[in-house]
Amino acid sequence: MARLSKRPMSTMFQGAMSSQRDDEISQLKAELEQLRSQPTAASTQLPTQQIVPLRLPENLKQPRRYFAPDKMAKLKASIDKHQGVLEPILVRAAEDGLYEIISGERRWRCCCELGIETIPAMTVEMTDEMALEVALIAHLLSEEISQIEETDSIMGLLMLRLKKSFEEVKKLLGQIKNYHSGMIGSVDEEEMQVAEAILEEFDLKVSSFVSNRLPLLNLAPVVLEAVRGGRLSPTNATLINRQPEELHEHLVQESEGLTKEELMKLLSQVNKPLSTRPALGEGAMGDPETLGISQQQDSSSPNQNEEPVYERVYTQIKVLRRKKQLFKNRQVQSRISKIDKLLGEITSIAQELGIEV
Amino acid sequence: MIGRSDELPMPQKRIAIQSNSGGVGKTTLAVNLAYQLARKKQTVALFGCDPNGSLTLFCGLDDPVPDQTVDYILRPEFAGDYPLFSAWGDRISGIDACLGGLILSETAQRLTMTKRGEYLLADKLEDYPLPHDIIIFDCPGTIEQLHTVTLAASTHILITLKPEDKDIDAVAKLIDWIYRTRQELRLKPAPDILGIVPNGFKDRAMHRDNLGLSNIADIETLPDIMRTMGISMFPKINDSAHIANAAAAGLPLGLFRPGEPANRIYAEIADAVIGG
Repeated sequence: MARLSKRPMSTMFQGAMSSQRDDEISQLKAELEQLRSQPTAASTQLPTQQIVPLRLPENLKQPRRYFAPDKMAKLKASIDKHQGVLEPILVRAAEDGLYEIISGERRWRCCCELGIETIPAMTVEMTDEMALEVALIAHLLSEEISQIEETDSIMGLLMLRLKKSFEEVKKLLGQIKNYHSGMIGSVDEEEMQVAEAILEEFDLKVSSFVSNRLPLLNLAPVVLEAVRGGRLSPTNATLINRQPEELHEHLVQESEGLTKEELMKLLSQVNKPLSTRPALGEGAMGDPETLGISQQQDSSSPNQNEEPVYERVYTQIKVLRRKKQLFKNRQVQSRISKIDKLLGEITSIAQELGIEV
Repeated sequence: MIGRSDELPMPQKRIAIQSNSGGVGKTTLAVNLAYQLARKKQTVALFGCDPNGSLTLFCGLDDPVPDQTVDYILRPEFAGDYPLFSAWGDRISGIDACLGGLILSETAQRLTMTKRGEYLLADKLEDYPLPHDIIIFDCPGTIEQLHTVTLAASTHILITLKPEDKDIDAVAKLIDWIYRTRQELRLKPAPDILGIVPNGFKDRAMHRDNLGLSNIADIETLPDIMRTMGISMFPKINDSAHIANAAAAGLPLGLFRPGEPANRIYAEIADAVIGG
């Protein structure tokens, strides 16, 4: 920027920088895929003892990794059969002479357990940030990944790209979702673009990520375990998670192999006395904290409270109805349409249960 | 970033020279780069992709008939008979030119109607490979259809600009466009930006400030921003009457005035192309 310039040079390059970031992800994906397709290229045998998992500074936290025992056993058997790893792992050289794994930790762990002395590896030079990014993307590209792990890694990627904490990213995604559903509120356009581009790379939309994926990270331990073990679909997991905790274990067992509709039917039977809950739960989707509280209140409240809740809803709407001025407010409008949607859902539950409305 | 195998000794490099403003030295860079590459024993095909046809003038050639231009390569009837003219063949070997001209403004329009129009040049070069080590595309002054076509056909991009605010702003938009377009076109491998060549530098405040040569704290400079974006900057080429004179004489600067310091920079860019 010259001394008399009015437009700062960094402003000029803002668009270019954000496109560069978007593009980088798709490039990395392409490069990792290429790496997979030509495994023998440029790899060397490294001693397994000289390899460690990726070490990153505090501010760059790697998402949790799960090494499902059954999958590890399978991989181990395959490595044992081939007397070693075929597809090279991706590492970077650290200053202390060790190699840090960017991609391929499962394979390395198996080798260690099998006592295999060397593993084929590709050594690359990468900064901490880039290493984390590649680690996340490589993880996301692996076919073995569960939806929970994928959600974890995508959140990690979003945190890295947007330089935000987990909670801040969650808040932003909520804002984007609201923005698209025409609700009031503002969102940083550039951040929105970055977040949407990242999700798009993995064929995800913000709205479904917020309502279907994020809740996965807040599942109760029993439910989470069942999803990780592949015994429970993520959709059913979120449904069960809304139920009182003491029912979780039972419901997880009962729901194995059930479709969402079948499970909803089951839940409505289990919950007969509290049949308003599933509908309320839908509305609070994406905000499990609030949900937890409302559930506690619900489950502790006596059954006869059931009627007064909908009576109260009815009375309140009747009162509000007269305040014509109020309904001109956009915030109010958006909430009214939410209520409308919820009522629609109640109607469809009624239909499922065979109750004529 | 991640190592690739080098199965071939050296695959053909295709360099698109682009800018987003006119008169910033694209054709000058094209001919001088070609000359320096030829001195380093590389064979080069220069493609004039600009309707202004300036490459013809800079190569000291005569305006071709429309059938003898880049337009012909992009026609359905083209079957590998590239209309190539030897450039400075009496002085140095290894440089051929495929010329542009006014007809290219019609080509650009036709391409928008053609299936796989964006990939047409890339497709032709794949179906009828040229034997040259390096192909250089001299692009038009502003972003248009021919930019997209050369982007899809190139392995690397060189960007030229004058160190003025308006040019820098235009280049920022060009870079934005490059990243978006190469992603949209799903180019594999995607062309890399080899670097930026600041051209026509004059020793005055704006140029010095923009290139970070003023020693004033707190002003943003192009080299700083390029560093954060990971894009290389080549040394600046000073404004010189000899460069314009060489072009008018239809010669590369290296033949017109071998002692000019700018030749060393063109040679450095040539090294980057060979190594890139």
